[in-house]
Amino acid sequence: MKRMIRLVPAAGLVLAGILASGSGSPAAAEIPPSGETRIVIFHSNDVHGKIENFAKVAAILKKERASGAEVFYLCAGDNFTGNPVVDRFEPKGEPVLEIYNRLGLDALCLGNHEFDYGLDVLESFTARARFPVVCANARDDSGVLPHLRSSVVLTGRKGTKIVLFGLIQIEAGNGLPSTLPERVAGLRFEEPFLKASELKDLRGDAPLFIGLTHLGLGQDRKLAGQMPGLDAIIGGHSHTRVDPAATVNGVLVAQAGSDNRFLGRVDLVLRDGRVAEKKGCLIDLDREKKEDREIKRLIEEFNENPALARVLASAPFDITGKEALGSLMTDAWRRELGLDIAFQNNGGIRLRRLSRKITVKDVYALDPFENQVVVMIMTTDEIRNLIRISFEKGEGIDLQVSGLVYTVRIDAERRVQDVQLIGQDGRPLQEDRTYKVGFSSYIPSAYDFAHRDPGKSLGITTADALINYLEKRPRLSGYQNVQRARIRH
Amino acid sequence: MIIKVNGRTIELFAGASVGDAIRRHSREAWRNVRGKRAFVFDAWGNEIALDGALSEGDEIFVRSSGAGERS
Repeated sequence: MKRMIRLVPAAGLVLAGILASGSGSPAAAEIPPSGETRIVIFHSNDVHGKIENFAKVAAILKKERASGAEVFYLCAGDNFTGNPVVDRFEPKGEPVLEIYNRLGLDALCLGNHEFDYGLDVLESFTARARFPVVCANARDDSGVLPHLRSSVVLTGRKGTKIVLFGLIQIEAGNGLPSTLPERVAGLRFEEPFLKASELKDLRGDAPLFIGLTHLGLGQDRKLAGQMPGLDAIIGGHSHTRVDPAATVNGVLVAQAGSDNRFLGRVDLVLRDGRVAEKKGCLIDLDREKKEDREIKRLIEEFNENPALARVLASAPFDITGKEALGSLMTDAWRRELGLDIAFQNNGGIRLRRLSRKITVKDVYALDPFENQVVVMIMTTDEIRNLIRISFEKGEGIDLQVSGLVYTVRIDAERRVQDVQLIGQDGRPLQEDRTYKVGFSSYIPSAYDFAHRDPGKSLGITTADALINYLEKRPRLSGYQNVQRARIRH
Repeated sequence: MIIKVNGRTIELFAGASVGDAIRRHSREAWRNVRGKRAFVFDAWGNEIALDGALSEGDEIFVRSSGAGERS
C-alpha cells in the first residue's frame, strides 16, 4: 500500500466550515468545535478528456485547502476518449495526467476507458502519476501494470487516514471491462461484488473507509447494501448526476455526472475519530467564475495540440461524396476489426469531401459523433432485411457498405421488391451461413430491423477505428467512382 | 441487454449507452432529449447523460422539461 503524505505547511489556525449546503459552493471557513475534523472530498468521474473546467476545479481546490479543512481529491475513472485534444496528444492522454498531477489528485480508480490507448500507455500513465491508481478486482499476474494497486491508505495534511479501494465494472458475457479484449490482454478481472466481500475488513483502525468505483450507480447502490461498513462510495460509469448524494444502507453514494461539468463534493465531520456527519452535493462548474491562471494557461497550451494537424494518409485525389467516404469508413472498420461486412448510414458521414491529405482533425470532422462500432452475427436474410429497412427509412440508398455490394430492386411506386447481395468473391451471399457484421452504434439503435443476435459494442469509436486504419495504410487508392449500392427498377 | 425505458422493455446490444436506448425507444423522445426539451433519469430520479453506460436490467425514464410528464 502506498502512503500518501502531503508536505504542506500546517495552517496556523484550524479552520473549518459548516457542512456545505446543497448549492455546492465551498463552505465558508469557521473554527470547529474541539475534537472535530472537517474533511472535504472532491471527486470527478467520466471526464472523457473534457479538460476545460479543470481551471475552475483548481481554483476550488486551492480555496478549500487554504481554509484549513482536510481536503482530498479523487477520480472515479474514464478520463479518456471524448476529446481529440487529449486522445490524440502525444503521448496520448498526457493533458489529463499533467493536470491531475498539478491538481494534487489523491487517487484514481481505473475505468473501462482507461484502457482505450492500450496497456503500454496506461502503464506509462500509472508510472508517472503522482497519485495511486487503484483497482482491486484487476489481477495483474503477468506484470503488465506493475504500478496498479488494489487499495491505498491516503493520509491528509492533518494526518487523517482514508482506506480506499477501487473496483471496475465487468461485462456479464466475457468477464472483462467494456473495452476491446486485446486492450486488457494479460489482466484478469474478478467479479466486483465477490472481490468486495474480501475487502470488508480492510478499514483497520482508519476513521474513513471509501470505495472508489467505476461500476455505475445501480451497482454502487448494490455495493452499499453489501458493505455497510463503508463511509462512502464515490463512483462513475453511468454518468449520473447524484445531487445530493444518496444514502443507502448508511453509506453515502456519490457520482458527479460526466464530461467535467460538475465537481462532486463530500463533506464529512469526524468526531472522536468516527464519522459523525456526512453529506454530498455537486458543484456546477459552468456556474463557477474563478479559474486558476496556471491551469488555464496549461489547458490553452494543450488545446493547441499540433497532433490534430498530423497527416494520417494521402490519396491521389480528393475523396468525394457519401458513397466514397462511406466506403472508406466501412473498409476501415471491416479490415481493422476483422469483420465480414460493415455498414455506415449516410447521416453519420458529416463531410462531403476529404482532401488528398487526410489529417486527424479531418477524421473527427467526418465522424464527430463518438459512435461505437457494434458487431452482430447476422444471417443473409437479416442483412437483406436491414438494407430493405434502411432503404425505406431513407427513401433511397442510405447504407454505405464494405464487404459486399447490393442492389435494391424497386417497383414504380419505389416499393422494395427484393435486395440482391453479392459478396467479395462476386457470388451471392450464402443463405445458409452467418456473417460478422459491424456498424456504427447509431444503426442498431435507430433502425428497426430483425436480428436474433442483440449485438455487442466493441468498445472502440468509429472515428478511432478509422484513424487506426489510416495510420497503417498511409497511401489510399480506389475511392473514385465507387458504387457498392445500386437501385434497379 | 434488456432494459426498460418509461416502463417499456427493450433489447439493446451489449455496451449500449443511454442515448442508444432512447433512440431505440422512440424517435420523438430522442428528438426531445437532443433538443433539451426532455431529460433522462434513472430509477432513483437522478439525471443521466446520453453517453452514460447502461447495465442489464436498468430502468430509465424520459421526462419532459416542462410539467414533469414523461414523453
